[in-house]
Amino acid sequence: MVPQSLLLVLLLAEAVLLGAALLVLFTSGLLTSRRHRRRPRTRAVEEILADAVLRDDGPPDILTALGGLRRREQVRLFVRLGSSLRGRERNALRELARTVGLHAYAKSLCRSRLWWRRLRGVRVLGLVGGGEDWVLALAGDREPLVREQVAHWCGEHPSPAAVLTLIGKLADPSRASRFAVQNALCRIGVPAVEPLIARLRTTRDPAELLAGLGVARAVGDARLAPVVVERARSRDPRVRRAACRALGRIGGEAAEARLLERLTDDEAVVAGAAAAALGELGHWPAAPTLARLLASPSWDVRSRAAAALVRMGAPGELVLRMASRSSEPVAADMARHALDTAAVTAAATR
Amino acid sequence: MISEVPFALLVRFETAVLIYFIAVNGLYFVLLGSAAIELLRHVHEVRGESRTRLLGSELAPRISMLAPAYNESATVVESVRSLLSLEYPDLEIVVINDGSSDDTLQVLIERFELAAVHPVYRAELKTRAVRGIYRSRLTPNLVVVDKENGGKADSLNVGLDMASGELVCAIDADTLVEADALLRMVRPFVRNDEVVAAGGTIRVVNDCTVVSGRVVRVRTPRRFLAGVQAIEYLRAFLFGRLGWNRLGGNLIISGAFGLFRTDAVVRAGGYLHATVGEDMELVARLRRTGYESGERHRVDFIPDPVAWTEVPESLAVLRRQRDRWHRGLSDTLWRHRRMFLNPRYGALGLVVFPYFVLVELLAPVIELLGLIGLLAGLLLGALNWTFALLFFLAAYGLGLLLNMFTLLLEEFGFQRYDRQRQRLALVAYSLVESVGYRQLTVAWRIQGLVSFLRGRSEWGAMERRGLGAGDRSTAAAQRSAAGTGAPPVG
Repeated sequence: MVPQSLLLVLLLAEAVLLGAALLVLFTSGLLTSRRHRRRPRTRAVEEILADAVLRDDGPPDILTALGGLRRREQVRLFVRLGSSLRGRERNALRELARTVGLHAYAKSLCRSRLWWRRLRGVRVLGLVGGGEDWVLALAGDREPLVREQVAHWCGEHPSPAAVLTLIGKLADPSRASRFAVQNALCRIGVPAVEPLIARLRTTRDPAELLAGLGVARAVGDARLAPVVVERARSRDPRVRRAACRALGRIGGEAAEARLLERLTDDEAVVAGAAAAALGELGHWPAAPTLARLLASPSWDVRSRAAAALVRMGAPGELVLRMASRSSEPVAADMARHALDTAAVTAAATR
Repeated sequence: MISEVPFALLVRFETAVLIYFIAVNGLYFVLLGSAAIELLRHVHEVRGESRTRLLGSELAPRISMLAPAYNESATVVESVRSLLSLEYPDLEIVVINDGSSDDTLQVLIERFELAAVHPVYRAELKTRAVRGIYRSRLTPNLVVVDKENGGKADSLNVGLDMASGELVCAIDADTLVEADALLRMVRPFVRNDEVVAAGGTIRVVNDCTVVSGRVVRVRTPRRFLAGVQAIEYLRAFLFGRLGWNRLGGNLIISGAFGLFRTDAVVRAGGYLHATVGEDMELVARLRRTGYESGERHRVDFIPDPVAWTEVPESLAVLRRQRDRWHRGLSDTLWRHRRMFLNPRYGALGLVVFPYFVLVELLAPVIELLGLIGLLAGLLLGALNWTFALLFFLAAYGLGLLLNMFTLLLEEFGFQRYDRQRQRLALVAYSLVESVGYRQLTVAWRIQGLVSFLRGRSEWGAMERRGLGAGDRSTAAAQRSAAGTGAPPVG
């Protein structure tokens, strides 16, 4: 049985911990109130900062005003303003950030042994600009969140070195980092095409292929056609599907021919993706084949074929009207559904 | 003086209860530590993060919001408008009218200019008949389905069949989802292919100011019953669910607000009709089928996407809700009992599932038996009054400590209650929670367990007084939906 003395010790420990917790809780509350009371002052500094950035000759008191704020508040201000500025104003903000020492501060964060400080450093540099060497050096960081943030930074600062770094990171073991890399490359667009082609041609890693094909779809550049057409014959159905989706944006004769071929793919998801892609391209010669797919046993294929016909405009609509009178009930139902939906959504988009 | 044998038995029994108590509280503190680490990581992750990046991203997966509605004519338009205004780049809203006996469907048709389309849909799940499918001439991403009455699970299954999104979000009709909640909640899905479900935090909206379906001012509830539930919800989500993220994953997603991979749910067979805990049961099944199929199925809890819900303020309604939750928990655990201590299911079978059986399910029973044994021991002279009092104080203190640390997690993670008097109110509710209220919930949970053993299956009715004094656009109404399916921890 537990001795009473042990219970007394436990009670004492609880009392101490409770007291400490309450103290921390209400002290935090007091500090929050103080921060709220400082808001008008911070807002005033924010206005001065915005004014300094928008004018060519910044007011002389901006440095004094900023100097009165804590580093964390400075960073918050710059980050908040930086997210809504572009062009000349953003460059002016970056110069000011450099002057008050935020770059140096961010760089020191990037050198930290603690991952959250490195993450913060890259985020600050992302919004105040500069520090490419420091950021790209973190591309291989052991913390996935830091690598993710590096990818975001590269997306906003698409130098050739940054683009190459991103292409190299399409094979990142962390899905989160790969997603960030994809996102960044999608934003960068055309400058990423040539390195992307080279990577898609050589890689055998399915995860890297899928990520790269996702980017190819977003960019939709015709130069990608040969390599993506080739990948649409991959043994991996996921890769074939991703390639079909990309071809729907890339277009061209070779793409259309490969997509027509994929309409009869053994995997329903691939055939469905090919159907959707042909609809996106408005390739009406595919209409008769798509009409036959309205009777496919796969819901995915039927619905995508119907949607593709709708996207083709008048030729597709004609095919759907004919299919709606078909003796095949599945095809007729799907055609009617597509026609009804198209009529309603057309009214919505008008 | 009683004879020696019963005396020894009583002492042994109380010792066993004491060991159970120490083990459970020890585990709570492990959960708390795990939650603190998770929260710290999460705070660093989101501080300074740009959520608008995803808003403009082509890679964001489509989300279909599934909103079952039954006799919601007074509030359905507002609810749908609120959903349509959620910040997300590719969003579909699927409202499922579950055979309402009022004019819910007619209201929707008129307000959103719905037109009937030929009713064709995936039909992979077995459901009650669909009477019609409607699309809106005003908003192309709104779909309304009219079906025969079949209950919430049936409605959600119809929604799954209709959904075109890669992800589906199941919400209760009267849950208020924050505008950027989906942008936050989608994160685990784009970061990890193993994630099949994710849940967010449900907070108590009672006495908050709500305008046009959005919480614009957060307040602690003024009434006692809602106030202690606010503490319970914080404990359940910020400490319970968050803690399990690191320790083998979650077994529960709240039915009020959860995001799922559509194909994983459809492959698992959708929501089960024959249970009142359909949200818990689905998640348990998703996790189990993951192990059985050799794929890893992760269920994550993300603390910062928030949905708000109104909690019961009457004892009768609260009792029905807790009774139903415990019946749902009992049913889910019974259906998936093969996972219990089964190494085939990894940490889920060896840690998470046994916890839910031995603590979440049986703790009220052990607590009651312990109390009875304690009183018996005291009356018969087998146990010491001083010891009993000290033990009670120590137990009370431990419960209070857990609440205080939860409030600290809230303070350093989110600070939704950002005024001192709100913190004071939460501390006050924590102080009185274990004196009367907790014992009531123990009784209700035991009642739920007994009901389960007797085979009861109905939902019961939920009464609401409306969403705060500041809300001008949402009328208070009697509804037939009940609860959020979020059994608290501890």
